[in-house]
Amino acid sequence: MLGLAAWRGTAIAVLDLAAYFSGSQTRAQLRPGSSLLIAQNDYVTIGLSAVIISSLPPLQAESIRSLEPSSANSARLASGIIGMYEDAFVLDIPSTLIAMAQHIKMAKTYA
Amino acid sequence: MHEDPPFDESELSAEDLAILHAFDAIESWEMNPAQTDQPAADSANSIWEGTASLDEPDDMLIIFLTEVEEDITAMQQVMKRLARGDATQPGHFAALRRLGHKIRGTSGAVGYLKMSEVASHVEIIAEQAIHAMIQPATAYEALTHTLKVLEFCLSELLRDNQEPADDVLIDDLRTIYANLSIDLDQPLSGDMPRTLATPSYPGNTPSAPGVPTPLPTPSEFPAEFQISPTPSTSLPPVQALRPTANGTQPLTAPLAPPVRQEFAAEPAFVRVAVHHFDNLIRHTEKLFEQHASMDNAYKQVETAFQDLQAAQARFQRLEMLFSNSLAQERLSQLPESHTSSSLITRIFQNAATRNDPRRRRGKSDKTFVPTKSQPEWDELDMERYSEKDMQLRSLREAMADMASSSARLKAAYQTLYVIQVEYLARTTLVRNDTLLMRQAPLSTLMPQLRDVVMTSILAREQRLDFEITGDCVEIDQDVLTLLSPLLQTILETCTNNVTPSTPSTPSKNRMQNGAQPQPYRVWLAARAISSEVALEVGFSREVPGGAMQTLREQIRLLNGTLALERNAAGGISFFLRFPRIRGVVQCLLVRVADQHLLIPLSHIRRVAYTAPDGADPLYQLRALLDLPAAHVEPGATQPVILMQALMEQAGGEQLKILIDEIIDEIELVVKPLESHLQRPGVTGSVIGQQGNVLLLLDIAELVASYKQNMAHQDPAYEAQGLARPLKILVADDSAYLRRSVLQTLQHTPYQVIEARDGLEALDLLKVEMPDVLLLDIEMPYLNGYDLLDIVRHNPRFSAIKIIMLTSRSSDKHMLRAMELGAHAYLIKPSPGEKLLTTIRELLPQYAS
Repeated sequence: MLGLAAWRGTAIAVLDLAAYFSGSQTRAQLRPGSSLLIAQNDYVTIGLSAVIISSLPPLQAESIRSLEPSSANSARLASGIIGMYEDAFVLDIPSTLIAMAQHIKMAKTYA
Repeated sequence: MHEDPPFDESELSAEDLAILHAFDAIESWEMNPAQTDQPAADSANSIWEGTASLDEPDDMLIIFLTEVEEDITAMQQVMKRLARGDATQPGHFAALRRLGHKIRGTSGAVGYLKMSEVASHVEIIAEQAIHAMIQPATAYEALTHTLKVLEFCLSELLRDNQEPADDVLIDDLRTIYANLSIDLDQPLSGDMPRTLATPSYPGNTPSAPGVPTPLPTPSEFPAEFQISPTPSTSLPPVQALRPTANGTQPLTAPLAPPVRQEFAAEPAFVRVAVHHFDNLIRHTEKLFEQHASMDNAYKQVETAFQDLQAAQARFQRLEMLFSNSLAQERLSQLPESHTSSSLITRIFQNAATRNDPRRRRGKSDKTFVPTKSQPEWDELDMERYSEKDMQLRSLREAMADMASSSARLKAAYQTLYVIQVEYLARTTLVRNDTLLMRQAPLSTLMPQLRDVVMTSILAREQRLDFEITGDCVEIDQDVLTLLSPLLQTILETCTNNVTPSTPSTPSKNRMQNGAQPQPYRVWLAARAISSEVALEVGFSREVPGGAMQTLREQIRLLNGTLALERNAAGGISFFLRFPRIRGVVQCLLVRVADQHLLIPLSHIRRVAYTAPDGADPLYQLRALLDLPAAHVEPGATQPVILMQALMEQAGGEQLKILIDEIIDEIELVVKPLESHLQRPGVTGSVIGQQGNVLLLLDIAELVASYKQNMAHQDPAYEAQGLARPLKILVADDSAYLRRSVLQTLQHTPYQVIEARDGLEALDLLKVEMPDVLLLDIEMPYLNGYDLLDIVRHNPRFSAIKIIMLTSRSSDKHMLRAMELGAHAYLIKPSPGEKLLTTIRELLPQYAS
């Protein structure tokens, strides 16, 4: 967890997306050039810090291929992935957010 | 020898199975006394194994029977109240449920399972009545019969030292329940065991499968215990109407507490006090009047700025002319120079001038540095001036214009600034007026609160005085909206859920030496402290528990604090503290390491720059927040904040907090954190002026959490207590079960203290400071959850290990207890060795 940020007048948690999926235990630090993505479902809003390489038009479901079992090298990643598009993972953000909220809840501090 | 029970265990819930297995264990102990032929220590380890294995079985039996007799008497009192017709049956049924639960647990532990089962009927029926699953009149009818059977079981025990031999009483009860459409197996919101499948136990061998037990006719029962099944359509006098303030109301009214619709949604209108409205109008008009001054000041600034711009433009034009002129001159003198920039040209010019020997003689130098000795400009003697002099003259004029315009701009800006400050002050006044417009005196709540108290069971049973002070304190109407249900919960719980007094728990002040009973006093005292309100809701006698967690949730909505103390009258007082304006909190902005944090001003007693004397420890906020240590310059003074926590009323320690720096005192709108961001000691968040997130701290909770963590992490933390004997406080309303625990622990080095209810346990906690608290859930005055909640919110008690020892076996109860901070959860009946092992595990430093 990187810390807390203000989003529309309320405090939200900010996670380093890469550190979260890699299961890194070290104290996360803001990566140079990273952007803050705000992810939200009905229950939780979380800021995701990530380096944006490029943006894509909306993906068609058929262009997402299923994940090979060996592709995800962490259980956390495997559980939060819909599939692959070219060489990139396609994340299932709504379900991932719930897991992230639980992860944040268990964290001792905000950073 | 016993036969297998004639039922399919697979049909039972896990909870029922657990209880059944426990009963089986009891049975096996009783049937095989040789197996309990263990050394004394082992004997003591079996605390629930029935009278046969106890050192003083007769004494234990007497304790048990006396207690059951008292409980049945108390039940009869409650039934009488119900029969009189009462507007507050939920309170009566709650009392019956608790008493039924107690008898079920105790008699089950002793081995009187028939009595335990009948008591479970009381518990279930009362629970169903509370949840409006059955009509109060129906419940009353059923309970009347159930209570008679319970009495009969007791009389048999008193006479023959054993329960009734057959099951006809229970079967007959079931017939009555069926006639009354009562289904004991109907799921409840609670988790108590439903009808206990009748296990086999001595003297209760079930009939062989397929051989029905003949049902005796009612006339076969002793006359005083005859039960006449009555259909629910012809119910007796319970159908009586209950009196209310408006006359009468049928008893069949739903029992569920009415939903307070007026607080269910945001109100469409707010009532405004006239003087608040007048103030707002007056201040708004003054604010409006200031618009003219503000506009005028803006215009002056604008004019001055335009003048300055004009002077600047003129200056630039002249500078250009002058530069061009000089450039041409220099170009003629320095043909090799190819500069095009006027600036570069000027630099060359300056350099040339500096190197020019004539410069030292003065005239040319004065061209750029005018002095007072320079001759005045003479318009009539223009011939002696060169073109260069003319240009210089114009340049000086332009410079003077610029200086003048700049001064005018500065003055206009200062005027504007002053007006702006004044305007801001007036805006703040208007804002405060607007906030105040939402305020209403606490007295607006009083009619409904008085109604709650004066229509309560207590008010109808005895003289009751309801005293109110400080009701003129004004509070935001949003806060009042949240406060109202909180106060009503307190008053309703404490004046309706009346636990009947039993001979073993005499109520104070009730009747002393034949004198007239003292009136029951209920008081509400409020006072404003800065931006907060301190409120005491007091009762002159002990009150039933059960509402602490609900109250805790309600007070959290108010961003407030709640404490519960015994008052001078011998009763209980609830101390509440909350902001007068919802969300707005006056705070001290402090810095610790690189973090800026907020502490509510009302929690602070004072700030010192040297650690005050005293035995209480000094906590570093940095350590409480687990922030990295920072280097502090030798001799540097760090502020120490002395907290004004409610804990002080409890005789707790004076919290002293070391911080790095005090930055400011500010008033902010605090928002609660989302659930996944909530941490102990962090009560909300604020978005700072720089868009950063500031956390609002509750220092008392932070310290409690810190001490709890330290105690878990480092056993040596409590090592100072090694020299004294370990103290164990047993809080259980059952004398039999307390005695059983005593016997288990009698061969250990532990010193055991007993408390008969939650309130007595709270009193003893403060005096004795035990190491371990063995806590039952169902207790009068304060139940186990209430006490657990109070203990875990008081830093002073943070080192106490809490073991729940209860017959509530469901995951729901276990989770709730663990969430509230219990360290272990044991289900009665629990083997003594398990209890001892649990204590040793919680206190590893004492294991040796």
